[in-house]
Order: sequence, then C-alpha cells, then structure tokens
Amino acid sequence: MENRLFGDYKDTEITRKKLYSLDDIANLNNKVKVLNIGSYDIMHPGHCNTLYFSKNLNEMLGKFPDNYTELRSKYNGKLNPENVFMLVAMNSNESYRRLNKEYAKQGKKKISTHDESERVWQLANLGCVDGIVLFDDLTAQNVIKSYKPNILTKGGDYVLDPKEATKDKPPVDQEEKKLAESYGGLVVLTPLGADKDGKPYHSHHHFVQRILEKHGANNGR
Amino acid sequence: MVLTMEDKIKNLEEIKAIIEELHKNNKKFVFTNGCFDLLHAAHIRYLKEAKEQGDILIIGLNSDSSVKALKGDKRPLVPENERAFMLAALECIDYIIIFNDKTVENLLRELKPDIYVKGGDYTIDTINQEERKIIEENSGKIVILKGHEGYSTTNLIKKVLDTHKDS
Repeated sequence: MENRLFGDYKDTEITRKKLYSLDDIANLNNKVKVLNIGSYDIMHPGHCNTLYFSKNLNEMLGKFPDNYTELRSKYNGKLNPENVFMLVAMNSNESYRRLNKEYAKQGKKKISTHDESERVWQLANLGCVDGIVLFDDLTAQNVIKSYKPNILTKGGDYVLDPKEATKDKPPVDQEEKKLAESYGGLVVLTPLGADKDGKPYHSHHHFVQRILEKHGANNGR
Repeated sequence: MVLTMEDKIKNLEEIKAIIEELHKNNKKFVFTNGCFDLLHAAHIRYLKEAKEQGDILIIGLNSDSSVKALKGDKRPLVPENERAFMLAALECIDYIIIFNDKTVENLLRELKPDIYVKGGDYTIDTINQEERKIIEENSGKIVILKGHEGYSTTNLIKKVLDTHKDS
C-alpha cells in the first residue's frame, strides 16, 4: 500500500497502521463497518465527540435510551467497540484542489486546509479511529461504494432532511446518504455531546462563532 | 479495556494513587503541562515524544482561570472541560489533571514526576529554575523537547478568521 504521507508526519507506526487505500477497505467484512466523512482540519471537541461515539456506539445507545430505535433494533448487542471498525474518509489535498476549482466557478471563497499528511496524523492519534482513507473526488462516493458501510455517522450539528436545515444545522450530503442507504447502510447523527455536568460540546458553527467573537476583526483591532 | 474519555480525567488524590501503584510495579511516569487550547498536529507530535520518555503520560492542564491569568482575557478559546476531552481522545495520553494555579510548581511538588518534559528552545539552565529545583530535589529527570515550526494556536485562530470572516 502506497504511503502518501511525507515529511515530518510520515510516522512509521501509527499512520501506516491506520491509513488505508480504497482497495484495502473493500475487504473489511468481519465487523460492523462504520464510516464517518470529514476533512478534520482544525480539530474541536465536537469532532472528537462524533468520532468517539462513532466507535463507541453501544455507549451512545446507553446514554440515549429513547433515541436511535432503528439502529438499536438492527444492531443491538453488536455495537461494542471491539466489534466495530470505525473508518474516517477524509478529503485529500487533491479533493480540495478540485473543490476549490468548483467554488471558484460558483464565485465562492476558496477553502484552505492543512496538508493531508497533517490532518491524517491528527486523526490517526485518536484512540477511537481505526482507519483513515483519503479520497480525491469532490465527495466520498467511491469510498462508500468500496466500503459499503453498515452505518454512516455525522455530527449532531447536521440534520438528515434538507427541509429542516438552518444556518446552524446544515443537511447531510444527500448523495452520500442515498448511496449508503442503497447498500443497506443506516445514516446516524451522533448526539451533540455534553460533558459529565451536562454542559454541551459545541458544534462547528458555535466553535467558529466563538473565535470570531473573541478575536474577529470587529474586536477593536 | 478501552478507557472512556472521562476515565482519564482525574483529581489530585486519584492521580497520586495511580502514581503510587505505578511505582509499585516499577514503572515511571512522564509529566508535562500546558494550556492545549486549539489542539494541533505539533501538540500531538510533542505529546507522543513526551510519552516515549517513560511508561505512562500524565498531563497537567491549565484551568480556564489559569489560562486567563497567563494569556489574557481572550483565552482560552476552548473551555477546560473540552480541552481535557480532546486530550483524553488521544491514544498517547493516559491521565489528565486540571490545575488552577498560574504556575505548575505546586503540582510538581505534589506529584514529584519521574520524568518532566518541557517543550521549546530551552536548555537546562534557561528553563524555570524553580521547576528545575523541585524536579531535581525529588530525583526526577528533565527532558527538553524542541518545538516544531509553524504551528501555534495564534496561527490557527488567524486561519479560522481568514476563512470565515465574511460569513
């Protein structure tokens, strides 16, 4: 398997252990296959929360006994972390290059992220991540086709139905959702987490807002 | 057994008990401290190198009040419970203790680290000498790990602002 990482972040042990190719993931069939898709540029607690619950689905079901009926009925008893493979599909540098080309055509602003090797490194060091695959396309469709996830997770700051979307809560990618469902996959939103004292972990939107409020251009600079 | 994130966050009494148990089993713990506001790749790099110096890694995490005292009113960006949560998610970290003092000296006196790791362009003579004294008095070892270029919370904040300020 070609190792795409380079420079300081070409860590022999952890990234080789966790970085997979599209061919590798077609063969992971002995566990419950969970997929999470994201770029994970600047990590925040909301991200961590989603990733943690994507791996520890039994814990999620335990904490939210009134929710996730479909997940529960389909997979109850099989969602302990030892039985779950949690794969994260991340946009590669090439994917961003292509996305930015599209955005330029649409007059939208360019997105810049840290290099893929650094983003993979950050993610690989999280205990709850079993595998990472990079995709070059605009979406993770080819990953879904190869991996055929049982469960596709997204954070609690998304909504499943575009009709319910707000500025704070965008809809999940409908193409990815349909594709996952066509393979029998279930799309699940992880809860917008909270700590022991019930204080919620912020969503991506809140996180960005907090930075803008404290440090933004309007703040007397 | 996979520890849940919350299992890793301990108070002083719990940490001391853990250290005692470790020493009974002839193991050494590494201690390092910081604010870890926006966690980034260089932090992780540093923490992994710190872990390699011993058997387990314990992090002293500055509380929100401690960070404010050190870095001013606009920090921390991320509250202490969330900063602890992020650190706990990392495989290489075994335990975390949140401390309120502006400096880590009292905590060092309490814990008596076997290996104390400092990050940055220091030498043994330019690190905080009070900290040095506490470690050496307790027969601990000091390890200095060089910083990594190009990463800082300040840069990350700037990046977020650049991306989002028009939205």
